[in-house]
Amino acid sequence: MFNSFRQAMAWLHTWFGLVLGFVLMAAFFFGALSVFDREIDRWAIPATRIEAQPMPSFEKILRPAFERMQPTKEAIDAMRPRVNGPMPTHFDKVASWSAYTTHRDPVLALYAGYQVPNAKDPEELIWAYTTIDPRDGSVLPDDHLKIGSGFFFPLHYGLTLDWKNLGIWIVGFSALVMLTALISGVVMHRKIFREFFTFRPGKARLRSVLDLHNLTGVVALPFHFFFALTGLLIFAGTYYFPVGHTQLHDLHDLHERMEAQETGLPHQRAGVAAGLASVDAMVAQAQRRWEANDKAGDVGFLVLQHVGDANGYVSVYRAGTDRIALVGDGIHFKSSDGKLIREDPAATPVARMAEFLTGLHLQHFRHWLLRWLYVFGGLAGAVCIATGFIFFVEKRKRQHALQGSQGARIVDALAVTTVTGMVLATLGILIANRLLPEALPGRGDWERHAFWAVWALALVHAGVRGAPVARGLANPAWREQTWAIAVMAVAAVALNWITTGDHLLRTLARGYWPVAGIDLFLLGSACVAMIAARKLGQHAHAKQAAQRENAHA
Amino acid sequence: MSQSTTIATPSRSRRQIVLHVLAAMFGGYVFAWGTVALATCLLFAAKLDFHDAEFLGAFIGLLVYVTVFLWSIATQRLLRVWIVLFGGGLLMAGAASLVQSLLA
Repeated sequence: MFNSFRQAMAWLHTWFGLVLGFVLMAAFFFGALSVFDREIDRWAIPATRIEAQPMPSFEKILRPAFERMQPTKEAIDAMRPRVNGPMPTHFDKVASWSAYTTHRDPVLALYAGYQVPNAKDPEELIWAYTTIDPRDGSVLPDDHLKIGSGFFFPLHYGLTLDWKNLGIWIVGFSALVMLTALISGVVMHRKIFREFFTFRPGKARLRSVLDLHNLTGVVALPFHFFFALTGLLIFAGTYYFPVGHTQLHDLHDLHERMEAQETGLPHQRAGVAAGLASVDAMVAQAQRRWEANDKAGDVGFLVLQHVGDANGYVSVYRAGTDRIALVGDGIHFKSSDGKLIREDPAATPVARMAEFLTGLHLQHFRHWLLRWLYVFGGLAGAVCIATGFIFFVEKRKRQHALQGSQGARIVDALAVTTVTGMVLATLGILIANRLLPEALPGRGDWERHAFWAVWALALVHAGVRGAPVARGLANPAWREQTWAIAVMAVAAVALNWITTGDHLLRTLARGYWPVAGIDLFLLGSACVAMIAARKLGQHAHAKQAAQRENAHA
Repeated sequence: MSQSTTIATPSRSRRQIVLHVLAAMFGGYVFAWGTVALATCLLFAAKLDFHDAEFLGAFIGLLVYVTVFLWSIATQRLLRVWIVLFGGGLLMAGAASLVQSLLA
């Protein structure tokens, strides 16, 4: 097929990069935004613009909140076909109650799983979710979309295509292709070390685009490689290679039996009712034990298993804010009397490696500089892919113009949509979030619709305005959408001010960085967009003038 | 970058490209699955914790997937790719089930 290995690698890099680069752009861009997902949530839900809170008291706050929880009507309807006989109206056999928070969360997510009588699979639980204000336990309305953690974050690994996890598979395959593109990209360039230091912004457009592509690709190569790889690893056991749930199910069962024996944590209810000792006392004891091991810290995850049963136990996990590795250091107590059952042993070497690699990707640590480096690493990935598209188009468009082919025009329109269109869609959802009435039913869905509608509009615009590309010229949509970014970014900041009163002077004076940071980032983006749009405009004028000269001559 | 990408490809070679790509994607997946399953089983048999074995198995499997993916695109020998990837993948998966039946 190809005469040399290098040629084959170039083919792979070009065509797989072109087809899946669009997906990778979204993964990198929304992944970069997800670094600050909790902060974006604060911007989007003004009622939660408060300082981050530690895990509140179980007895005072959590227990009443858990006891109020029940599965939604939708969850009950979804479960109905998997149950023999009618569904109960009230679920009272609690399999687990759990609460999860991070050092950046002012709100607290609660989860409750209930046993379902006569379920076809007796292991299957029905779940209820809620978010509360940890200061007083009041419930926050569900249809307030957490744009950061509830939209951008799932978008970056699953494109929100939930049907049969299709999105997760597409992103996973793209991550695999990312790894092959990085390797084939290195193979393509013999003088990789020299190209590392090569950037010729003044040179011919094609050359500087390629330089930027190589620069962003090579400088951040370890970053790109590790994020694609750890992303795949995080989902490998659950989605991509679920050997433990399928082919090796028996082996997994064997392990569960061995583990239940070893840990003494009961897998099933005993069927005997029992009370609940003070969970706050158990949490306090867990914190003392961590401190004794030089791992002082807050609780990140609190789980009560088999609530109200003699076999019930409480697990307390640490929030891993002080190291990259995602560690739990779980400590488990018997619910009925609060006696210590077990302290998780020190991790095995493999588990430590797994904790480090997943922690590297999921970043639960408290380190703001490192967080910003993640954002810029992710954006460098996006720039690398975007310049790849532009290089593809620039290299071919004159040739395609001579041949009368529309190829370059189509790729260029898709590139506009993926680069500037994606930023516009992001700004679109933020603006919709500030404009839609607070009490609108299904408000979160409207925000999502706004996101996709803006993106679709950007595609239509890029396609309609793309005719010059087929003549070997630049698409004015690049410049127009860049102007739109500048306008919309400023509009988002202004709308935040008008609708909440939180202008920059106030948020900065208060030191409320979640909102101030996003406003500043939006304004910074507007400045960059304005400079870029002006440059694109000058470029276009120069081109037109040159053509007129040619026509006269 | 290669010039071959812009030269019009004759139909036979286009069919070949499709076969290489399919081998890389699906053959690669089967081979990687076999690797993950067998590595997990063998590591578990070597007294590793199940989830440790599962994680290392997935790690090895992913690196193998990337490698065979590149090989499938680069090599001239299409038939060998299909035989090695599908045959090898199924063999390893079978061996994994065999090891499992001995352990569990």
